[in-house]
Amino acid sequence: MRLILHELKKIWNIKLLIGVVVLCALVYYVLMGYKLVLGGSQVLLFHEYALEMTQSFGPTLEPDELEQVQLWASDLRAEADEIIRSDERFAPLGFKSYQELCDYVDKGLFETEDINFNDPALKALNTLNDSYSLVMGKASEFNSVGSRIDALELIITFYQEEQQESEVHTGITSPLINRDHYFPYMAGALVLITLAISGLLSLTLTRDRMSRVNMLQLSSKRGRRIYQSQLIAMLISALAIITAMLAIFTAVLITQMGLAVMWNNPVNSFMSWGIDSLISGNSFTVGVYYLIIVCFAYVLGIGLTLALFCLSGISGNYVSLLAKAIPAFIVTGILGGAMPVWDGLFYNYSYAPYRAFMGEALFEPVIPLLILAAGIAMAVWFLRSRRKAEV
Amino acid sequence: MKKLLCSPTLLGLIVACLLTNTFFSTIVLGSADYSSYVGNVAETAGIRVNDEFQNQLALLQEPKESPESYFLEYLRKDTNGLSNLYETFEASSIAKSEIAAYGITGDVARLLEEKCEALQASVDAKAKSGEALDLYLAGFTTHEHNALVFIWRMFALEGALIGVLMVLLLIGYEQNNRTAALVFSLRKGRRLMSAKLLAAMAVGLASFVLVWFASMAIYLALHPYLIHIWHSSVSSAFHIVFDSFVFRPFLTWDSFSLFEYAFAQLGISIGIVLSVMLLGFFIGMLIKNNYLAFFIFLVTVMVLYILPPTLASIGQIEMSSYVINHNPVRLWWMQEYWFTEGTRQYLWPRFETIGVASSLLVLSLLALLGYRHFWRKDLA
Repeated sequence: MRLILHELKKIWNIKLLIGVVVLCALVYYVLMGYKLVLGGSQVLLFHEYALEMTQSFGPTLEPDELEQVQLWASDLRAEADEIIRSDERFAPLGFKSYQELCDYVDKGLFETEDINFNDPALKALNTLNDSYSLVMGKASEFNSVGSRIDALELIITFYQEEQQESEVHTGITSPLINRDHYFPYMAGALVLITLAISGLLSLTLTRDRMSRVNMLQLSSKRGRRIYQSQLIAMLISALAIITAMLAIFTAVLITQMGLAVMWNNPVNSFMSWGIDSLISGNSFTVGVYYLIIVCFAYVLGIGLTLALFCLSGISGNYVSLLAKAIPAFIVTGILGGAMPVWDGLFYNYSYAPYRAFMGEALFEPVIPLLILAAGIAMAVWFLRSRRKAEV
Repeated sequence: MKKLLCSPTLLGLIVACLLTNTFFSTIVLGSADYSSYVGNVAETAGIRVNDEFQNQLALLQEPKESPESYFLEYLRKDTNGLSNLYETFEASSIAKSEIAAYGITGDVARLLEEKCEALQASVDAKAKSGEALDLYLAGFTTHEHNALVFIWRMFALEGALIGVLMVLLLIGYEQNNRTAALVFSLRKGRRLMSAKLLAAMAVGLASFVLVWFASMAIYLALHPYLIHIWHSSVSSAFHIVFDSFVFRPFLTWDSFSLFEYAFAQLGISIGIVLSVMLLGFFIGMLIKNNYLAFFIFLVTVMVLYILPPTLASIGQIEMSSYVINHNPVRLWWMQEYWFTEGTRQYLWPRFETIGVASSLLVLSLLALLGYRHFWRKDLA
């Protein structure tokens, strides 16, 4: 036990830890930061309404509940009408209701050949729009009445269009849970976890070899069983890294995406824009998806740790170690972590690269399991070979 | 150099790169059937879509309902009525669309306009040469070209990685083998470090060139039709890029055939690999531990990537972001735009050449500073 504690102390080198944290933070900023934080985007409004609808109606939206959503939209339209009536500047331009304003702008947007940008009425309208952002929702005022009406009416349209499809999805899901946001975010989480594990754990055995303490270790009372202690310390560290990083990502998902509220909502939804999982119906929920990724993170992480234990043991110096650890990270992190990005998890998409080799089988769980199996094989080989090796 | 060449690490890295490149070359076979057909047609009918080409195409017959018959139909549709688009194209429209799409104002807008006005001479030259009428890979040109650039970008990344590891391996060699005290107390002493840098750069560069040519040979073996259109212009009318919400041709400053373009890409990639090796040397000189040095190197790379867009978001120092955007990391990221006007992200013509030259200069100075630091460092 004392040996394991000593090994843990060596692994959690403060300088290296800072380097890994900084690198992970930078990678997060570049690859993942913008995936869930979409300030000013209409997607955030959809997200807000998805949360509100979930709290009001549960995980699905039934046809009779749609009427309530339509009432929300009517209330907002009444609010917009009131703004137009109460502001005297609208009347001279010929607008008495929100609908008239929408019709004018639609005409302007879709019949651009006829539009005269020097029209004083249009200029005046632009000024008014700056005040209220009633129609052409500006990024800075995405939360305006006009933007909210647009968002709600689009949600209603999505729902009505879904009713025409052969397979109807009534589940409420935030559009943040789709191929552009939630899936890449979770993929990024897997990549970052493997990056942190590679960075912190890969030099465990190489460091001893380079500082020439390995002979001392091997000639001690514990002898070659030192490798087992080192492996246990690496596994404990890996579990700690995975758990800590998952805790951070979960906190972000809860605060930014409302993971807890959405937990029971199906991933297949009339709001999720093109996600159809192979698991038919509404049984595949946001929570289940999250738990699958958590399992993948642990399996991938442990598989990588076992592989790194072997690679670290056979490397004579840091550069030689890096030359082995980088491909190991690429195979585990990029290949394993990129699964949800390539085609959405469990999404039947024909040009996913691995399908070229594996056909249409549910290949996703196989990748982490293969990496785990490879890791176990490498670690067992290393331990067995060290037992007999002449050092 | 001998130490590096005998190192199994180098051999392992080269093999790993070749395996990776073979994997990626295999999975980008999306449109191979049609492209292969176009390549075969180009072999017999030529690469310039003119009357002679159309006559040859009209003579071609394929068995009914066969895939080739569909391909021939597509090709006839693709090439029918192809015009020399550069005759009417105004380069200034690129700047106008960028300025309108992103609300660019002030000096940045002026420089963008000036850059695109300068590009008009290239457009006129292309209009005269008629290279818009080159077949390239007809309807799949953009897809295939992007696949090719993706592969070149991979090569450059691998070259940079091998280069940095070679530099770190060689400068840390004495430390790792505990011969530093002996070696640096020799008559040649610390001057040995400059020889180590040169050796590492030579080996790193040779490895990159080897990986590049070997991987290209694999790629061409998997995509043999490229050889038939090797002399097609990369600015063919079939090569369309989507930027600033508009479609426009792939407009290069000079006229390049695909063959020439491949070597031009190699040239700039060599510059980037050398720059990155110099950066690795600088960091390696400051940090004794190779492993930590590599981490710092990665952090620096990420910072160089993030810095320009971050600075651009801070209004007053926006111009500095355009200057820093010429760093090797951003240049690598923008590889698909090399030899073009470089979109709104670059304000001056030939950004890749300026970028590589300035990166080499700045990083050579940094490497010198690092060397100087090592010269004065207490090695005991």
